[in-house]
Amino acid sequence: MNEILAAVIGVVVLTICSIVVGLFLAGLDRVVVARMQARVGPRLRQPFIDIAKLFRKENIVPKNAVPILFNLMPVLALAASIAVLLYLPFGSIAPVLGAAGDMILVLYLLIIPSLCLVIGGFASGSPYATVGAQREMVSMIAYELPLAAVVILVAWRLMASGTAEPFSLVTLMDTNIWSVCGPLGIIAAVLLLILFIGIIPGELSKVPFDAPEAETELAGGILAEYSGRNLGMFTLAQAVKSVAIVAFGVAILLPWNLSPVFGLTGAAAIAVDLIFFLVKVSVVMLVSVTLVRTMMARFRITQVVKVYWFILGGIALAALILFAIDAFAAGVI
Amino acid sequence: MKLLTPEEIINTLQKRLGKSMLDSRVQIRTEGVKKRENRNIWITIDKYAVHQAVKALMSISYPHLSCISGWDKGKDDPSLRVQYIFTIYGGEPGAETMVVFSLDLPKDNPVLPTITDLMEGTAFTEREKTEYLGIRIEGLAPAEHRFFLPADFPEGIYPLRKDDKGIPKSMVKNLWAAGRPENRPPAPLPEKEEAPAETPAAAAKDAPAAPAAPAAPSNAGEKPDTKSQKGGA
Amino acid sequence: MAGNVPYKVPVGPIHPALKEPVHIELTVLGEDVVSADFTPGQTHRGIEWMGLSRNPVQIVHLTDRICGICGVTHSLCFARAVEQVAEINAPERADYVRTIIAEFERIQSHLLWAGVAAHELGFDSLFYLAWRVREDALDAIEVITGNRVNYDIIQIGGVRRDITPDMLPKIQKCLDSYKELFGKLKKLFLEDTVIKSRCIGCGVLTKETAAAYSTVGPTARASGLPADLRADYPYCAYGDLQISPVLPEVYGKKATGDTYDRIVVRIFEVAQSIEIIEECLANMPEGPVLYEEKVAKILALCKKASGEAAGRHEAPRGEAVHYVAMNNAEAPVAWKVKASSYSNLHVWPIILKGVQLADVPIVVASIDPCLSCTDRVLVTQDNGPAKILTKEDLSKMSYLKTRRMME
Repeated sequence: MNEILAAVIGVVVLTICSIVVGLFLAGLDRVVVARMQARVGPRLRQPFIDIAKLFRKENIVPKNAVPILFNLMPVLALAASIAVLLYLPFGSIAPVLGAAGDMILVLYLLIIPSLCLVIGGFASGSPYATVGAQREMVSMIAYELPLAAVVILVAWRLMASGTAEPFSLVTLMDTNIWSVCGPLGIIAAVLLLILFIGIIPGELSKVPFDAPEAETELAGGILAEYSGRNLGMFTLAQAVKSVAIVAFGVAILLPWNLSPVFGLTGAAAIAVDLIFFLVKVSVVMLVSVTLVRTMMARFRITQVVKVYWFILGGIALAALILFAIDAFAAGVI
Repeated sequence: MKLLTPEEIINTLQKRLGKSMLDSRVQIRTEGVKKRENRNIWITIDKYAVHQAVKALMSISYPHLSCISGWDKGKDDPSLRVQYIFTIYGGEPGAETMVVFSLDLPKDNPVLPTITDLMEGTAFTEREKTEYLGIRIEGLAPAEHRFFLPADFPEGIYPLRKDDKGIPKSMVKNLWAAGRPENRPPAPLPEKEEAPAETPAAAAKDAPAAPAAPAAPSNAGEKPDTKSQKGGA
Repeated sequence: MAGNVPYKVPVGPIHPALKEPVHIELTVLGEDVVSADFTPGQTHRGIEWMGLSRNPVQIVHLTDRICGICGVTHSLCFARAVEQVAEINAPERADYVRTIIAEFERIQSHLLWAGVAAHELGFDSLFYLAWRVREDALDAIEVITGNRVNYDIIQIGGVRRDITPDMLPKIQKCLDSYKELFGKLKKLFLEDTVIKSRCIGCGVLTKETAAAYSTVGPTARASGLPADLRADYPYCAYGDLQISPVLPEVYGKKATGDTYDRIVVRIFEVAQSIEIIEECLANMPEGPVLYEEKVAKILALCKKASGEAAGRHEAPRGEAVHYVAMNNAEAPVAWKVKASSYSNLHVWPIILKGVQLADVPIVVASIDPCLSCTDRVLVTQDNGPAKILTKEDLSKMSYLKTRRMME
């Protein structure tokens, strides 16, 4: 009984925290982009104001839309994004439902918000949204390959070094990918980190991989027909998803904590680790989303596929080879 | 390619057009300090000779059609005047020559042949003449929609005509009395949304001194940020 | 996925990719555009019709409002046409001032376009950069004319303001900043991998089609047609200068008529305009800038004039022509405005055919369409908030002002 209660409280707290952190990251992204473009830009709390505004606005369902799907998808997207977080560790805090899931489950859960966008796009009955939804499907297919490669390579290298349950995120909290491999393996891990940074903008539909939402081409694409509460829900889902994907990357590739360095224990350790974790998330977000979208123009959808499959796929292959050599040299296989 | 002088161009065209060339004049204009000349040739032709004239011009050099222009000679005058404004020798430094073919076209049968068979891209400006002056272009397939006038512009009225086919006074006088258009298609909203749309308009009528503008200052602090936020998103 | 049924995607009349209203209907199969149709005329204002009941001096000010970007183009064309009919010769100094302001207009117009193009490609940082540096040109224009848009500097028989020596340092500062910036702009626009991969070979207009459709300006030059009125048809001070049209060859590449070539031509024309302005400033003759200062006398001359003429000018987007016919009356009997985009718009269906949907915005923008729209005015007060005034608000303000002045 207590466990269930703890889980429920955990979910509520996590939902609130992730929304706050997600919106904060969105605000940070906007402010930093504005500064890099020599603009004044919005205030840090602008995303919160936007969400508050969206929830007060009228919710319009277009005539051509399928109302059930159209209204259901934003809720489902938000729920799925929060569900991902239940399986992720935050600093030294173990995942709320850690024992029940593993990295493969997280991979599947990460697809759901995008799938909701696709279904919502098709359900809105607008040509822009339809084209956007098609593009979103294509880009999902594109970035899933390198994403899955990262996860499987990390797990495989851990397994090769004799770790039990390599796919479990609880295992990842104790076993650091960087500590199990030799110099070649470290290079491979750096490659994986680059891969992951390349995947994040695609997963979040940001420039240069924002073809599904391309403002100048599709007037917002999938979200063209969404307004009011539904749009607010999608925005929240996007914010939570950005926390989830970055936290996932941090958990598997940047798993260090500060508390052992200072020799802290108990509540202090949890607090310090959590703050350090948030800093890591912010930095990864700034590098992968903010910096990239300031520097680049939008790809065509065909170019998105080429970039993810051939360039990032090539990097994944290189990492695989390096890991294999590394494991072989260490004599573990 | 030898570049012809304006007089030579006129002579060449005269040979090809014969009697159809009614009148010609060369207009030289000089500007700037060095007073280099730019050349303009104005030729009046018979209305049956359009096709022939363009062909003759094309035999001199591939022309550039700036546009076909036209005007109504007056309320009581029985004809329209149409100009084909061409230039030739584009790309030859300092030698580009404007060649304008003018012709009179009777209002009771305003028909001109198309020259799209000679220059593919002239349909656009020919269609403009149909819309503005009611000139029928023979040999040009009718357009699926209008290109220049709004879709709801009345049929059979040609804005640049000065006779009874031109813009009637009712379309331009006392526009304030017309108010906002009322027969616009309704917005694709649920039924219940349509009733409140009346209220702002009614309120504006009661208090004419308070248009939409005073609403803006109340959330003055928010506005600039909402704007920049759009740019950043 | 898409299946094999083509479907229609409307772009416009209002769409984020379009800065001005026009309606483009695309038939799309998957991501490929099968065919395209377009409907301009969404902002028809009947300016030519209005002009037929006004006198030439009034029309000059009306022409300034035809377009917000080519402010000087239309007034210059119109003034040149009327001057030819009325046999007025603008003073030599006025020709130079006209040339200088026209070239500044080209700089600001091309930079504005460059920003829009970057935005269409999703490259917002470049868009902000281009528009920020464009401010320098607007500042210089403000120094010369007193206005940032709608310059109102052209008058029949000359210009209304002279360039005085105290303006020169400010103008020179602006030119220097562009000279410094040019290398950077060139690198950012022409060497960026993504811009290259999206623009090369996209929206191709062949030289033959460009000629058959009588395209003008950078659109024609990018296709390899060396058409530039400034070089071919001596007018204003252009006849005194050695100008050769900017073709993609200046960047060491063969003209193919694709979107990338149009970027090349416009970027290099900015550099050309700077040179022209400097040369004009250095060689400006002394003297008056108006044929006749008193407007009443100009009007009297115009009223006596009869005949027809066409005034041409190479606008930033290409050749603009105003045809004017006058017949011993106050108002002209005919006035035809041929804006530069008029000659370029109709190639849309050709260059859009076969491109990807993602390329539609940049291809549409690549000919730099100028459809002109002015049914709203944004007023920014010094201390207060910005607000949008509708036509009704403006009429009301105008009535109030008239009443105030009558009291």
